[in-house]
Amino acid sequence: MPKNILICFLIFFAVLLQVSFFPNIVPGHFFPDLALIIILFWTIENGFEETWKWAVLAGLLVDLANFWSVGTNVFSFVFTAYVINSFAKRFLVTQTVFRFLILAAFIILGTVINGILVILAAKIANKETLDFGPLFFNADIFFKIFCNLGTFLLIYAPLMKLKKISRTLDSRLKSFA
Amino acid sequence: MASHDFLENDRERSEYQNFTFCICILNCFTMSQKFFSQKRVKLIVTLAVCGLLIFFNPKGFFTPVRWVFSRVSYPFQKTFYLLSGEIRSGADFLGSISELKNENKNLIKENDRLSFEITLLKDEKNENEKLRDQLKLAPREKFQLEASFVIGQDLQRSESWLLIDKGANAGIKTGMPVIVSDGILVGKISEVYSNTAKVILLTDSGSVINAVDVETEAKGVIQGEYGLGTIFDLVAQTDIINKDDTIATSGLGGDFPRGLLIGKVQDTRLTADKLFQQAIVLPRVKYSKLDVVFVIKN
Repeated sequence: MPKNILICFLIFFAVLLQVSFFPNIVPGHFFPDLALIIILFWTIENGFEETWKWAVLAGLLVDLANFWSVGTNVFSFVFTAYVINSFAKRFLVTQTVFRFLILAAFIILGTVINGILVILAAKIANKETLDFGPLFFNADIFFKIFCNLGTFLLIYAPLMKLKKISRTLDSRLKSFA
Repeated sequence: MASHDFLENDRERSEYQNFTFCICILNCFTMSQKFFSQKRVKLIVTLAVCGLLIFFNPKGFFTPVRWVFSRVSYPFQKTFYLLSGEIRSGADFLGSISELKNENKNLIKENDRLSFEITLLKDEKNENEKLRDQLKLAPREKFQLEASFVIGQDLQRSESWLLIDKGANAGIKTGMPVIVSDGILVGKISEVYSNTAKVILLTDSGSVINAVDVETEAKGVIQGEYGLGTIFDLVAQTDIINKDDTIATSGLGGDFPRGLLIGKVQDTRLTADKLFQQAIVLPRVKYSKLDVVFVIKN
């Protein structure tokens, strides 16, 4: 329970930072998808089974905070988490040396998948004609990759710390039970 | 010869067929069980629900949820935005000499004020006495303004908006014009919550406002271009638009007061069907730098 509350707060504040903090300080409007990065990290570390509900929550909050049609970011977050989880199982199990680099590669992949899905879903929601060219050759996604990667480098250590805290909380709860 | 010809009577044959059918069903069930693992079921159900929500897009359905979210998030959003503003100001301060910065700030303010005054003067010169009386309604002192802080924004996508810290509790209503400085139009209120309101900017793809070329009296509409800029559209072929002309609200339709400054003409062109003229209009303000805006309540 305390772990769930902790993650809820983390996602909530990540979304608010994304909407009300980064746009004001990051030049060029290419601010990081903090909520997405956290969800991807959590998926890679704990698996899709445990993370999908947080992906739904994060997507819902992003939709509400950004005035998107509800479902747009939920769809992209859940699908991206699923795909990244499938890849993580294959590539990350045996790797310990290049673990960080592989994590960074997953963040890039997740950013691309999420970027494409969000544009696609927004076009469907707004009943616009689907043009697949801009989905794959989109400068915004290119800049987002750098932005998200930079943010991931900055928050990797705090996220690892948080992971340890949540594990400690879990083990304490188990000892009480 | 069929594989089950060795069976002697019809009863045995029928039992054999039933048995093979059961085996097939069992196989299918096992395969489907493998495919529809708990993880995949969760994924498929979530994606299907989201897909339906996206496709049918029931905007009003989630309004109460947005109300609750805006109430809960409002204090945090305001704090984060003000904090980030402070950080930005600090960075700006470090990046330039403080005196020059202040001077520049004052000059920009003065420039905005003078631009608006020029707009009014040019307009007044061209209009008759009656229209000038109407124009007297435009000056800022005649407006009932509600000052509010910007607490959130998204300017890069097709929907360009700002989130302000005043809502229904402060008398804000949908459709009210939003300005900065001395009468420079920014957008209009599109959604109102208890303590917050969403402002759709002029650059939003759904924004359409009646406008006029102050110098030549050419009338048209200002439309947003997916967060990238604004277009002065639907201008008759017979009208004249020149580069650097000033574009202001025309007051037609009654949604916006006449004489609110929008921007300057950057370039002109004909529409694809060659029926109308278009002009790219450069907005007077940088939306990403807005901290305080004013809502015109009357």
